[in-house]
Amino acid sequence: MQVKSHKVVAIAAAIALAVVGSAATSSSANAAGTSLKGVSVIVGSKDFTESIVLSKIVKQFILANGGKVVDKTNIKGSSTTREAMVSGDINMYWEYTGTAWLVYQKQTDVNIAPDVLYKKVVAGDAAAKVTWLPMTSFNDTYAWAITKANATKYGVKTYSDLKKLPAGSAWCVESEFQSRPDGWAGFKKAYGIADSSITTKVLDTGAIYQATKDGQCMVGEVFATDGRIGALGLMVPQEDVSYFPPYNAALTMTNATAKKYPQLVKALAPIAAKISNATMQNLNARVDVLGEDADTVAKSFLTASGLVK
Amino acid sequence: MAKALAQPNLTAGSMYSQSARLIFQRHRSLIIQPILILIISAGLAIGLSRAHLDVIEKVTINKKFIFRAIQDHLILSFASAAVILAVAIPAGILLTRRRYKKFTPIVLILANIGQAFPAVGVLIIAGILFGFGKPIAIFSFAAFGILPILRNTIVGLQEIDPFIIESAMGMGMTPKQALRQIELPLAVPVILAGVRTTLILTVGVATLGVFVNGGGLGTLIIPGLKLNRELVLVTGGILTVIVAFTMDWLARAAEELLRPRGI
Amino acid sequence: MSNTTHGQEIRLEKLTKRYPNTAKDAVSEFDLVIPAGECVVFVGPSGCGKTTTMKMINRIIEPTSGRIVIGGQDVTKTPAHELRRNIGYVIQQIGLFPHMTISDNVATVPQLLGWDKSKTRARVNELLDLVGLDPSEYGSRYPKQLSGGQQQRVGVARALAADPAVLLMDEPFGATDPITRVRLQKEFRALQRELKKTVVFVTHDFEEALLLGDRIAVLSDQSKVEQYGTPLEILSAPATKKVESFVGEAASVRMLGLVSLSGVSVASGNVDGPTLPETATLREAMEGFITGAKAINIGTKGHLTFEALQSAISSTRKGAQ
Repeated sequence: MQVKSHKVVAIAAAIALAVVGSAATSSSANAAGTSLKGVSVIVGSKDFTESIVLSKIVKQFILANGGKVVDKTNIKGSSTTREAMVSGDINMYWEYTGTAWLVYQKQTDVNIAPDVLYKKVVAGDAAAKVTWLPMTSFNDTYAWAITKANATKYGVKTYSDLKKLPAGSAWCVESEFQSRPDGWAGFKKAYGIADSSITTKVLDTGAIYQATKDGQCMVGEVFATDGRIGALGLMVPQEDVSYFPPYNAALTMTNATAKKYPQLVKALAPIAAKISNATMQNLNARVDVLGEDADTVAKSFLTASGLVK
Repeated sequence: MAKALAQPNLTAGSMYSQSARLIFQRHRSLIIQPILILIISAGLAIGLSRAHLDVIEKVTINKKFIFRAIQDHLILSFASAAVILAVAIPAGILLTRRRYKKFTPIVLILANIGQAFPAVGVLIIAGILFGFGKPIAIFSFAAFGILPILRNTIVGLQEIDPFIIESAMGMGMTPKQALRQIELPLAVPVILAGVRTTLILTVGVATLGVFVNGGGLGTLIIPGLKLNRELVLVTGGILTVIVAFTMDWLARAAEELLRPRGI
Repeated sequence: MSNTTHGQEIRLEKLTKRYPNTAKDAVSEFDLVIPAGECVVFVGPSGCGKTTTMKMINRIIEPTSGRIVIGGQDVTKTPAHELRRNIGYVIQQIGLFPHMTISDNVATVPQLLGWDKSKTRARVNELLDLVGLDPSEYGSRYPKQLSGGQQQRVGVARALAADPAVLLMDEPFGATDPITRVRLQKEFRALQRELKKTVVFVTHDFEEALLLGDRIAVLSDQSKVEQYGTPLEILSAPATKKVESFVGEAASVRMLGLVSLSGVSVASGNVDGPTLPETATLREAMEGFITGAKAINIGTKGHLTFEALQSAISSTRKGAQ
């Protein structure tokens, strides 16, 4: 039957079109597609590049999966950001295990391994009704930076080697670092560095990178995953005597948000594991050194890591 | 002239008792203010000595650290104020002289820009270029605070009755003599008010010294803020206010002493 | 009173003032000789330039062109502050220094001249006394504690402090009430008779000019000199229409106060009626006639009739023409 076979062809074509069509639309949509439709959250972050980039990654992921996001990144101060989440101004932001331990839970013991610390922090935050998603492998801890040239000149490979630097060398720290139990006083004690052998300068965190490169600081207190370390020709010696506590990052959200969107918690969980030290440094550098926009950097990370097709 | 009949001094008596009352009122606040300052300081000291401090708080809340912070803060505030005075008052005088009057708008715009700059950013750039430490902090704070004194010097000189100045010239004073003996003394009250404003301003701005190795009370405020230790933060804040109040009191006392009688 | 410097002659030659960007001169080629020891009053309507002209004499306003000669010396180019220390200056707004005591105000010029302290102090007290202010009471006061009239007197004392030969006064009594003003005028006239300084006095009030001036310069636009003469000359023979309109009405009546009875012809013998001394003026005689007298006795010389008074006026008029 001619008419019937035309019909069959037409139906087959329609089905084929539908299959191809849905395949096409699903490839322009993302891996999870519309799995986060109906999710509407406010994403915040602290006011430094790494925190902003991490939150943009979460934001772009949710958007790519059909969710809605209000962007309230770049809030001044750790405590302020945390307050914002607890009070409901934002629903989630990335926090560091070390910071939560010392600052919010007011603990002072710092000699704890990363995963053990993570468990303790999660347990400690139960009372505050905060949920912690899995943590990153990168550890954005305090670190000391020195120019590659000076490292070669004075034979500095480890933190202990820093004692070989000339007497009166300038060590630059930020004011918060001075006050922390995992900070300046403790480090000097752990490594046996006498105040009389060095000069201490207190500077703004951002200024320290440039000042170390320029020579106003011999040694600068920096963050291990900051992109400027590589970009400015600085290096971080090895921490031969274990001193600094771990600072792994993890997305935190209120229990209420977690309960409301369990599908969100599940979908976001794999992200942290995909961010290594090197990856984070690279992303940070693209923003701080190359001047790229954080949202763009976040999107390209999601694509490159396969989290979003 | 023949001895005129004595004019009935209608105003002298009432004027004297009015001045006496005003003087007492003025002096009353000059006496009350330092007492308040002492009370608040004592209260703070007692409160801190009784407080149970954790490891973090002990780093900043101790006699040595606090005294050093106050000392540095005073150095920063006074030094920047001194730089400002050394620049703004001569500039203000120059700009009210006939020859240089036309530069006034430009100079005021520049001084205004100094106030509008994001202070921390400028501070750090200056530190990177010229070296971190107190000197660059002092000069940067001076740039931020130059406007009030400059403006007050100009206004103080401009608002002098021009006939007083004409009289002075008519008596045979040289322009320099008129400036020194007539204009400046008459402008002093307004200029000193500007000094007072500037001093308070520099006390506030000096909290930024912590970002450029300048020391100061910012070394309590910033860690207190970042580490969520309210006691440290509030202590830094109260101490800053105490320093500001003290500066205000000193400036007011200077105003009283230096105000020419008869105005 | 200590030795006073008597006045010097002032010659103003072709004094001109042209302000930048204006269509015409404010003062145009002003020529005048002010005799030594005389009080010359510049009088004229507002805006005629009389104050500008006066202020060019001590170069508070610099002349655009012209010469100023004081006491035979060309002072057009001498350093202004030096010139002014020898010229007393009193302005309408007084301009006392509010932050200085009355004594210090008066001592301004002696201080600038470097007089020693005791000489200055003595001079200040002398002058305050002269203007009717008790130095022990007023010396340590401040200007704001004095009334307007008292401040005026201090202004005059200050101008006289260094005993200048020349005095410039710009409507000095303008800021006082009419009663005080009359008193100040009379006191100034008496003072000037004694001190005989050369005074240039600016006013817009013709009555004041008549009272104080040995000579009056009636000025019009651009400080043009409409007439320069004694008060009697101006009243009895106004030179131009402008002077006439400025003088106003009832010139004859006002002249009465300027003519003394000594030169008037009298009929012999004394009659019933009031007596006036020779030094009295026709005005007092007129007062007598208006209040009912038929004749006025002039001392012991004789008596004056109303007709005699009338002819005295008209002959004064004719004499001036």
